[in-house]
Amino acid sequence: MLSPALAAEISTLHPRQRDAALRDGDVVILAGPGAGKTRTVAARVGYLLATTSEHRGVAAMTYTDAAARELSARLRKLGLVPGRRLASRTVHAFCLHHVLLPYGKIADHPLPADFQVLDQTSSDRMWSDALSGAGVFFNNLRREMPTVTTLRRRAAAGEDVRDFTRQHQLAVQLYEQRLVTDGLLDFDEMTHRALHILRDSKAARDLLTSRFPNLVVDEYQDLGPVLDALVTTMHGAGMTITAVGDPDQTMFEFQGADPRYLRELGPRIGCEPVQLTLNYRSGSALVAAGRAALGEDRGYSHDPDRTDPGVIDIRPVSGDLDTHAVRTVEVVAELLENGVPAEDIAVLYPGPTDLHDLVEAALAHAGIAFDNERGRRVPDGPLANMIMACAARRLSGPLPGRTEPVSPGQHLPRRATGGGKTPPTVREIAAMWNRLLRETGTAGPDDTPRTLARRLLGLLDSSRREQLDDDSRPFWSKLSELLTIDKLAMDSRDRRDQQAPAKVTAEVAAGLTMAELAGGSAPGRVVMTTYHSAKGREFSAVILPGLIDGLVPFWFENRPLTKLALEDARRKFYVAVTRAVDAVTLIPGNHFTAWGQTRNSTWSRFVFDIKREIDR
Amino acid sequence: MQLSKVHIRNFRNFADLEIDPFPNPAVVVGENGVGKSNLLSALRLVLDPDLPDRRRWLQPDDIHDGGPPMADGVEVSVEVELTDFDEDDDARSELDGAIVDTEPLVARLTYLFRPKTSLAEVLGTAATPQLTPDDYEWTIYGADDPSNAMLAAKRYAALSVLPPLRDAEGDLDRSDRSPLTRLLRELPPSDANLDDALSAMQAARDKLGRDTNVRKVRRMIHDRITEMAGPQLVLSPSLAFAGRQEDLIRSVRLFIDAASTRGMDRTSTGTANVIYLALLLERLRLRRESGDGEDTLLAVEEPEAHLHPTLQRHVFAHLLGQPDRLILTTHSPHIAAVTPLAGLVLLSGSGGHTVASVVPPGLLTAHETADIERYLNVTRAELLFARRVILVEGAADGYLLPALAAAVDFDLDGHGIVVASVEGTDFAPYVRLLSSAALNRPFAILTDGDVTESGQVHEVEPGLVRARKLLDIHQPSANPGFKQRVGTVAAAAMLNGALRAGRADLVSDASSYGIYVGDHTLEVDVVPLLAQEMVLAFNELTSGAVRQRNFADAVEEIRAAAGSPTKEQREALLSRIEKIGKGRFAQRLAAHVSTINLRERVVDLLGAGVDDELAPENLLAVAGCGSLLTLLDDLRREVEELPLLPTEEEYLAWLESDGDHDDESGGELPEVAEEIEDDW
Repeated sequence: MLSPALAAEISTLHPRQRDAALRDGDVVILAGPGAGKTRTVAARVGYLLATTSEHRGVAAMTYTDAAARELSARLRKLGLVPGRRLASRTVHAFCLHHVLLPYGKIADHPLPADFQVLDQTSSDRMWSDALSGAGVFFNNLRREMPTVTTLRRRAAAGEDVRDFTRQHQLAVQLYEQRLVTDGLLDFDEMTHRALHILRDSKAARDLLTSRFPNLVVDEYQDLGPVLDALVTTMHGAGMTITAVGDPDQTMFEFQGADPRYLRELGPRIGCEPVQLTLNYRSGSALVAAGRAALGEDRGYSHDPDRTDPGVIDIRPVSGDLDTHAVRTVEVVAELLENGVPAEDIAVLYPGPTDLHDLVEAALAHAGIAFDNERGRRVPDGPLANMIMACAARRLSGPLPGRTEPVSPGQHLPRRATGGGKTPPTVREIAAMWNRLLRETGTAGPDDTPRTLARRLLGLLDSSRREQLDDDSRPFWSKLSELLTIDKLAMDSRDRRDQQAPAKVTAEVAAGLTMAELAGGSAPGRVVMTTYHSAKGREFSAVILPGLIDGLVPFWFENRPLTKLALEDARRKFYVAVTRAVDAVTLIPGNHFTAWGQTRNSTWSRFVFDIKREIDR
Repeated sequence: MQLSKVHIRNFRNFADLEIDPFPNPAVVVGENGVGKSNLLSALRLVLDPDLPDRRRWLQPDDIHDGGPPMADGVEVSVEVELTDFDEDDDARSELDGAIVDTEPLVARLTYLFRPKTSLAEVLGTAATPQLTPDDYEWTIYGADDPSNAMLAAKRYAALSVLPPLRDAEGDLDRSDRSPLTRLLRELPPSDANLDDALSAMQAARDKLGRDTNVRKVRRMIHDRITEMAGPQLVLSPSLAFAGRQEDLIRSVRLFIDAASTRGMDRTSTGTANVIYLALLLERLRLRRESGDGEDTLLAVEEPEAHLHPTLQRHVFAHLLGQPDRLILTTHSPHIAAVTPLAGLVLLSGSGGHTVASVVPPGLLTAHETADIERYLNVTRAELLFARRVILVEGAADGYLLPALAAAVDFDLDGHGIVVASVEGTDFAPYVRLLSSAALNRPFAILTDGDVTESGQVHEVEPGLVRARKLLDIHQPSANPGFKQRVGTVAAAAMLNGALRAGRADLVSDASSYGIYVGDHTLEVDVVPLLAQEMVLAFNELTSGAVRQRNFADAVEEIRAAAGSPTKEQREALLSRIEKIGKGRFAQRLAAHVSTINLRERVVDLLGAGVDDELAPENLLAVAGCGSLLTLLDDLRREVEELPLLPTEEEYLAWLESDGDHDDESGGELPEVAEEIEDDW
């Protein structure tokens, strides 16, 4: 029997979505852009929870914290409060909390007693040491990282790594030894250890399968070899697998991801994939453009209830990248004039060139507010999450979390940026604080959730509530004082927490708004971000400047573009184009200056592909 | 923090019960079986942290009978709103997420029990199956979104129900239930003192242990057990008393005298109850003041149990004086009598389900409220328990009406009909109190006509003027021409005591709205009907042949006037009765009235045939007491479906149809017995 909300949700799913959600046994769900993937996954998890013994549950692995929270929130909306029956976590958190910690000892891979989770800076330093120690000559660590990351992951999965150099193999060994000797864990290490434990120990596999007979994996295309091996292992141990993703949107090749893992999963575990082909996001013209950008027809179609086809606009420029910036601003201004909310307009730029700076300068010159999402970020980690929670609750006031705009005049950002959406209750924040204090062993006898809640209330419900757009400095200084944040950070074993206060302080000083401190975005700002970071999001209008062959797709002069690199670039462009609900503006050109050299080229070949589609 | 609103749907007696505002403190009043305990059971579903969750899976008999049964799918909900916690940080934190209003803060918590849906039904491949409790789910959610589960709020915003007929003495004796032990846990003795006591006891124990006889007993026990169970059961019995700190606290007992010789078993049940309640209130206060405590709303069922009425009033007045959140249920008029009007929650049956009424703030002025509260003394508090009320002017009516009804076997009391005297003619506040805006109680009014020969409108026809004013309050749009018609009638002359032309029509109209206007005063009006009984009563209360003869003459003159007594004749009668006192006279008179053959008399007065049916308009035409008889007739037709004065044929037909004319039975719903398992 299903909860009323879940029953209502299932009854309104598209037949394909419903087939995917209600499939008995394993299912691979291939979901194109705007196909209602998240909704289908939530219904699937709800269905699994409803049809599994109420003492056993579902493990749902996602790629980001935001996605994990989103799934929990959606299940709550479906009337499901599964408690410990559901582990909705990122892959790393799942490996740490549901494999390493409980089964490490059983499988003879115990964690060090007081391990620390490595932060990015320390990790970079250790990689530098390892690479130097192994005799790899390099002048830019960023350039080496894809190689060692991929190598390390393939090796951990037990794949053949003979085509990597001896030096790189040695560097990976040195790095991993260092982790062990220093009692450190990084994110990859969590998944690698988890795979080892599950491969080595039948007891661990059986216990995990008993608790979670169902494993749901989202964004499967980005998992890479280790997690693919882990899923295969657990399938072998009897878990029912639900894998969800879109091979065409694979974006983490540089870390070892490969669309073939998802493509081959169905045949490997013996199930026919369900392809969700209806695009609820974009109009018919935009769906066609997506097909052209991908260069393959997956049978996607637009929502028949939607009559407006959407707009594909090609606005070429003849000058260098600076004219791309000027044209971009022109288009943004037109959209704003036509009443498109600023936060619903995205300027997406390819890789590292000057284009980003030029567009930023042009927008600033035109007096258009924007959010470049590069530096202005609250960092990750439990402490940072709690800071965001406090800011979100401060903004919302003592009300139930509202999903609707508070009043017609007050427009809330609709982008799924995670956090800032459903503010947590004071009690929940107090519980987070209490957990931090307990984990650091610094909780005093009076630091009960209740007393902590009282202290929080004094600040979070004091009068003169800030607005979304307000400067976060006053609030942040009061919050730091209340939480004695420096001490809290110092005592944490998570290095991300240790650095959180300094990072947040820096961001706040750089003009972070309250909305941003709450993990959302301030309204009224045009979004500027990379193709990569646009994944999983949607905007009314998307503007793509810098579409010049050589930049998109990227290739070095006098060096052939490999088939793999072209496919990779095409997938990224495909993701960028398919973010649009109503309009895509392509800005192609025929030359650009980068790294001190001007290159003559042609329009991006992808633009030609789309133009052909339009002309047809 | 306090309850400010309660809304229950489809639970036991309640089809759709809304109490808004919910008063604080609240005194829930209603006859047995109307659902006082069920109201508390409903609140426990949302707020009682000690109610086991399995009790939140409702059973078929928890579902209200009027709606769809459990098998067909039904939603049960209990919604409460809490206010007055703006200054309570703990409450604001615990209720965060349930807030529906901010100035002042209002939190809403709802218990919801509803059916799940089968997959086959979603897919349309099968019809809805018959549902069992297992096919339902329940939750407690905050604000207005059922997915916003807030099961933990009740840990702070808690409700405790103290059941009726509790075994106070037994509970006080059991350390695991004793409020005393709990009180001591809140305020434990210092460790040093406990240790001192323990070591002193250790010494005493050792001493006792060395006693020859104690040793002998211990040895006997040991030997007997070994003999019985063999050497497998290895025991080394010892005889001692409490040896650990916790045991020591538990072994503290309450004695009712300073010398600690008389235990709880030596008190009356009533006293034990008072002590029990006192300990409980103290503990709740301590918990409320402690840093990790909770703000408990206490509900006491029938606090009057086992208490002497005087003690009831005192205990209860004390409870009401507490600043704390408190709900009491009672059917004791002693308690209802001292309840502030604003705190009353009146439950009553209505067409198969229970409805609640409260006196909304602002309905009555402060003066009116004070007057009514003063008025509602122990006897008159019956008004609150009544199904129907007849409002009358004085004590005399209070004696005579039931007596007249009794003469035809119409048992007013048995039907929950209360005759309430307002001690004068100011009916207005009572009408407002009983109106649908407040207590919502059906009522009728019997007022004197007080007709006089000359003067202003309100002087010559005061009864009709009163009726007109009451109509304006009670049924403002009922009879637009009434006022004007009263003026016209009053302008007419009154000759030789004959009533004014057109008056009868107005009286008839008023009676159709439940306002019954007599001609003169009650005593004058009943003369045609009860002349001989009046003389009898007078003679019993007086002595002196002359005085008695004069009275008999006065009665006879009025009787002979056949409904048109002159002013002098009326005064001659009244002045004689007033010397005795109208109330006293009526009381005496009532004793004779209950045995007369009322039908025969009325038939005589009307000159009707023995077998004639007597319709309301016939009764209204009875000289003098027509209104009074019509009132009783209307009432009897409504509650018994029988005329007041049935013909033999009517009566026999009614007897045959017996069983289906008890329209009030709808209110009698079985109260589901509540198994109370809280360990107090």
